[in-house]
Amino acid sequence: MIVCYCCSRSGMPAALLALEDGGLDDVILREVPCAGSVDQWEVLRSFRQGAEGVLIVGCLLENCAHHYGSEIASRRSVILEGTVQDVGLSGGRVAMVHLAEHHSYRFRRAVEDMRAAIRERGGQA
Amino acid sequence: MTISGLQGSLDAGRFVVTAEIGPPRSCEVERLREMARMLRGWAHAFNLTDNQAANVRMSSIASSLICLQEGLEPVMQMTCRDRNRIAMQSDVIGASALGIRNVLCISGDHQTFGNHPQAKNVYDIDSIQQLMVLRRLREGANWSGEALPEPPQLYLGAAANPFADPFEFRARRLARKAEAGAQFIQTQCVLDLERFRSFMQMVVGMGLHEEVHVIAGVIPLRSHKAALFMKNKVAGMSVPDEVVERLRRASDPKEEGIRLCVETIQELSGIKGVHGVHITAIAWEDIIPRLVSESGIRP
Amino acid sequence: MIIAERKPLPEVLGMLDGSNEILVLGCRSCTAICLAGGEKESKALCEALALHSELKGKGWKVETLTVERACEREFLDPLVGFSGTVVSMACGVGAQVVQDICPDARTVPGVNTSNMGAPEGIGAFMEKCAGCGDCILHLTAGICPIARCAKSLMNGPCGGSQNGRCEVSPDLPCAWDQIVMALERQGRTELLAVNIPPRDWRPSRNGGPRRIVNPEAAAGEAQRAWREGR
Repeated sequence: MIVCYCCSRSGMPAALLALEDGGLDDVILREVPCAGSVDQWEVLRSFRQGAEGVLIVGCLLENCAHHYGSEIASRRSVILEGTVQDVGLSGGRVAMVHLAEHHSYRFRRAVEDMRAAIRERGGQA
Repeated sequence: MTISGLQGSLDAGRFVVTAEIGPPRSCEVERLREMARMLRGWAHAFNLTDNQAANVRMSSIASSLICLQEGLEPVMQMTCRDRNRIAMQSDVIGASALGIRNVLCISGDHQTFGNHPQAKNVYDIDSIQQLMVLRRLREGANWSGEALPEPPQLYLGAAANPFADPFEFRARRLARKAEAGAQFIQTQCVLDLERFRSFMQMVVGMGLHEEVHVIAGVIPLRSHKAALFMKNKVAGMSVPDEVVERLRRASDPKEEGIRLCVETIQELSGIKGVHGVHITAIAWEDIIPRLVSESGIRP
Repeated sequence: MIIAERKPLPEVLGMLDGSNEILVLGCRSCTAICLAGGEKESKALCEALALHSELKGKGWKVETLTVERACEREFLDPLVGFSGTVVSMACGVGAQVVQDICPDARTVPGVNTSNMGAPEGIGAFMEKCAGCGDCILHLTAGICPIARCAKSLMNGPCGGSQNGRCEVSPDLPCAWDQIVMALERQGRTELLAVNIPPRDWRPSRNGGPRRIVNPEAAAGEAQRAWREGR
């Protein structure tokens, strides 16, 4: 199960478009006003609730509706990737993807990459 | 009252030569004695550095004594980084008791540069305060005001860096060191003669050349790489591009470096207010006799 | 304010062996402002510890609470009687007061407390005050040489100052370069002609841990009697 925090402007439209083409039954979408508004504790809580991986989906860096929210989210996702490994899970379970609202293929690829990382690197660190 | 040979030479108006000796990293006493014997007679006095660049070496006081025993006149360097006012006064009283007369007061390179960056530094007092404290010792009292039955005999020096910033403030800082007790000043190595001349103009303009003896630093460079290193990696150094270029173009950079150093010494001896040169030839101390003789400034 | 940084998570995990009940205590004051130990950071650590406990079968019961100011007992009432492990996200002061309030608990530091400083730029905090106990900012145009000069010089700058930068790092401004320029700007250059003598360090930490009593507020007999219900 991969939980995707998608921003209203770019993430959600792209994700919904991708879902229409099927093959993404393991994906749960959560809409947020901006990728930068997703707090660290929420992402970690998702893992406790059963998520195997968390994707943060936000605008292209130069195109964030909130100017720099996407940029903050990007840095935060790197920190979270480290935290998740420190607590004992394998790597590749937290990632950030930047896209525009029509980039359904980017969304799909990010999900596939994450599935592969989870599969290859196994359960715990 | 003339406390040391160095003071005597300077006060008599002679153009002095001082040179630097880096103490060994361990108890290599014989090596130090050999270097001292090699250098004897080629300078009026020799600086023994104090854990320079914050790397642990034989103490300045011990190496000064060893050099004294070999017939050299030492200048004991003492930084503010590793000693508080108690230790400084104690060490200087001890040094004087052992016959060491010249003391150079300096702030010292920050410990993060050296081989023990984890150490806690001291910096209880700075170099200007250090001059005040040591002068008072010489005058007969320690810093807490207690009278000393036999005060240490000290000739006090300080450092000046005409190439650090803010430039306009550097001559004023020299004035403050003189006021605090500095009797002689050794400057950072001069490779940028133009800037140094401006600095000396300010110094002479303030009449400081009559209060302190300025001894200009010089350094022989062996290659253009050494020049570049000085230019880019050493704090507070000004190395003109022409110097780097001259060494790069030379067919024998070492010889060119020696020639450049001799020329610099000769230029410096003509600048008003400059009363000597201080040669720093780290890991190349055996070139000092040649530099001194070719410059025509042998004591 | 006091500047702190979150401790690396593996280091915190290493402190928790043998724990059962864990309380991650956040503070809304200094450590919240410097983004080390406020409510968000404490919640994040709480989730991380709980997740770790589940993955490794540690059996920890992890909760989080954020108080107004962890260094003042009045705000710590909810903690009285706690006997588990407190991971303090407050500064070293708060951590110690908490330990004092809960003698049966074990307080461990979740942050590294660093210095007294202020925000400078975005997400950056610069050391400003060394707590020397004898402030001379009026002599140095409002720039503290003890905290901001790497060598705490009182008569700087040293010979390593170049282009307004400290020899220790090009990221560090030379405090004395700043002081000289500020005094010139303020028209107080007469201060640059004066040598400051050796400092009396007794009012600083060097004189020993300090206990400061406010003369007006210090409790007298009547106040003590009232507090003790006499």
